[in-house]
Amino acid sequence: MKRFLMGLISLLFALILTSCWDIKSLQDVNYFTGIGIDYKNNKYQIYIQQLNFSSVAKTEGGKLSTPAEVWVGHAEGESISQAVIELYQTTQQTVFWGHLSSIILSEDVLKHGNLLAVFDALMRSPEIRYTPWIYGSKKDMRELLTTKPFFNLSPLNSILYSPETNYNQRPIITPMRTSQFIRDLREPGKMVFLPSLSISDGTWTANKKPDPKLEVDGVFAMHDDSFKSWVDYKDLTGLRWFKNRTLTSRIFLRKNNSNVATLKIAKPKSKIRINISNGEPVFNIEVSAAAILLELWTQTSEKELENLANKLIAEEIRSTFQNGMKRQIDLLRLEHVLYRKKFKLWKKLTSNGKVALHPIKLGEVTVKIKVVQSGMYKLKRKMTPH
Amino acid sequence: MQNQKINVVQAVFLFALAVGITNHVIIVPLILNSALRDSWISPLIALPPLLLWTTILFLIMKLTKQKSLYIWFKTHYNPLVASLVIAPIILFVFLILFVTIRDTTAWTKITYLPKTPFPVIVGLYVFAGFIAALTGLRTITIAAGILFPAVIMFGFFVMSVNYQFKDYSYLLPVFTNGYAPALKGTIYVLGGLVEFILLLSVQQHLSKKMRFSTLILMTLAVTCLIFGPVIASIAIFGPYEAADQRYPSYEQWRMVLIGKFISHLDFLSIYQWLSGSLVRISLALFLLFDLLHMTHHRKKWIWMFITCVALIVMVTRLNLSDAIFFEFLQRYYFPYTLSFFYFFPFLLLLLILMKRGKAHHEFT
Repeated sequence: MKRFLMGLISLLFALILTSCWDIKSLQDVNYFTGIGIDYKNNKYQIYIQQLNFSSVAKTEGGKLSTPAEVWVGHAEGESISQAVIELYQTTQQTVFWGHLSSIILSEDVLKHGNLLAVFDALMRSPEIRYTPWIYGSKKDMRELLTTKPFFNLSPLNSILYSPETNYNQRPIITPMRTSQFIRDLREPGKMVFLPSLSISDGTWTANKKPDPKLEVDGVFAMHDDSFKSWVDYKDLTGLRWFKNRTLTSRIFLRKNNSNVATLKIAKPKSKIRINISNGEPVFNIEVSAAAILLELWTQTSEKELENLANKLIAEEIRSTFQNGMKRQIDLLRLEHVLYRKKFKLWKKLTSNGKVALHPIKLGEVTVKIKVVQSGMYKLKRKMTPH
Repeated sequence: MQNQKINVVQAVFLFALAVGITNHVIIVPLILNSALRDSWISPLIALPPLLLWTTILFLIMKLTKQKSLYIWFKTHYNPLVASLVIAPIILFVFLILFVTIRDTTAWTKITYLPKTPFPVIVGLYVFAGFIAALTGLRTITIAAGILFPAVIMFGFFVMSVNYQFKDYSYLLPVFTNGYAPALKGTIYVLGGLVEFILLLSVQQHLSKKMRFSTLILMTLAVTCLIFGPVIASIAIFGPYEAADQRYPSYEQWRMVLIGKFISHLDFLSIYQWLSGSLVRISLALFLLFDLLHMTHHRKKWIWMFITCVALIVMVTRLNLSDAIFFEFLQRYYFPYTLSFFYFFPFLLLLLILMKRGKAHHEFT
């Protein structure tokens, strides 16, 4: 009898614990996948992207004959949540934010908006996670959110939503997740490089008509929660030697105006040492990595290749540093190294973070590249047909 | 009554789950809030005083021959002293019940059941704990033994999957604001760990003697359970963002991402947290009545039911905002439980040592 009663109670639990109050029917929900945030006329402008999920889920063997449909909603308000409430007037169904996977901040919101308030509004919501990719942009939000990838695929296959594979091929500007952006933004003395999303009109044509595609063309440099400068990716090439995730960075070696070789540099390791001279920090940089020979134009010894590569990479690092100093920004994030390693000195020189460390003295840049592989050919091949 | 004794391994599982797991969820936001980047130092500072305290605890268990604390003091002193000795533990158990129910249900309401009425969540949750407590310590212990391995496994899972987001360089520099923040964080680490005092109230239910090494290993393991999520939070979110989060451990679960297609695995944390806190409240409920000598009382279930209803009413009807509750934990609950229960075992040991000779005399 007792067992029967217990069984009955357990059954009762199973029946009433189905959380019917919070049930969501999947088809009756609007999924917001991307949000663009702009700041115009002292008001926050939000642009919401919604996708037609029938174009996201691929059917077996079926070709995608129609372009993926994308809806972009726009609303404005004194704050983010005001704008969201405004948008809810027309959303028709329950909105679910749990699949928000991309955030774009306009240049204006980075410059004039209150970023901490923006993230407060987003992250306070129990539905939004820290995982969305985050970008800054100078372009029109509506255009960014409606630019589609190839083959009628949905935007989920564009760099707005899946930037990693693209980055692995061309590792210059690392894609950033919201967690990392917020972490770096709130870190004292640290430069944050928010990837800048843009649209390239001229690269691709579809059936001879221009077909715009998304691209990452630079970064928005931020320091201490405030906007510093926009930097073109060409001025940032030295940055990649500090990311040990970098897999396939290529360098093209030239000597006396003639082509020598192309090397692939794998997993560079970097060390930044601080020397104090006259109470001021001097930063010495050491980079070491292994290289793989990709193409060879002129017969060159291993030693010579390594020397050329060392010189080129050191030059890249120096010029990136100089590009930053011209704009009064610290592109190699040296100030933060000082914060980490010599906190007391940092505190003294920056009045406890009130001013950025400036000027910054770059000491020696030492690069040690080791050629470890020469691919399917020997390093020394005959440079003539026979 | 059949044999209700539990063995030492079971007790370790029970306490690791009830005290360790659940404690860290409640404590981690408090540590991060007060110690920021130095939070990970706090558990390290807590180690020496914790080891000393655990040693005292072990001595008490040994000298009382793992008999019921109340009975030992009744035979060596008098019923009044015995009652005075267990009264603080009874109060503590009641506070644990309230804090655990309040924190778990508020989290449930905020995160995954926002539209379910609060009294329903609290009611069902307390009722589940009530049934488990009613069936006795053995049931609770066996349940803990079944739930514990998966909880630990999921913990390792979230730790390793989130490695992709972690940057351990954020752990430095430490002591940027002097040593005070790290020491303040230590209050919460120790404040949570003094819950091991409850071992004194289950000692008579253990089938064997607790070994000193087992006890030390258990407290060390539980300290690691605090250390892990604190480090992870700083490495993923940075110290300042982590300090602003209400549920840092849960935020880590929300980060879980494997490739492009697997995400939103935070429901596994519901399993972790609910199994931990369910075992915790059922253990606390059981101990509450065990300390009141009502384990074999015929009307026990009525009294337990009334207690549960009172708890439900307290949690749902008290107009306690989450901000006030958090402040209560931060300013009063942990500092006061720590300062009392850290020194309580020292006092007990003193009382025991004073009468040890006499008891020996009585026997001979």
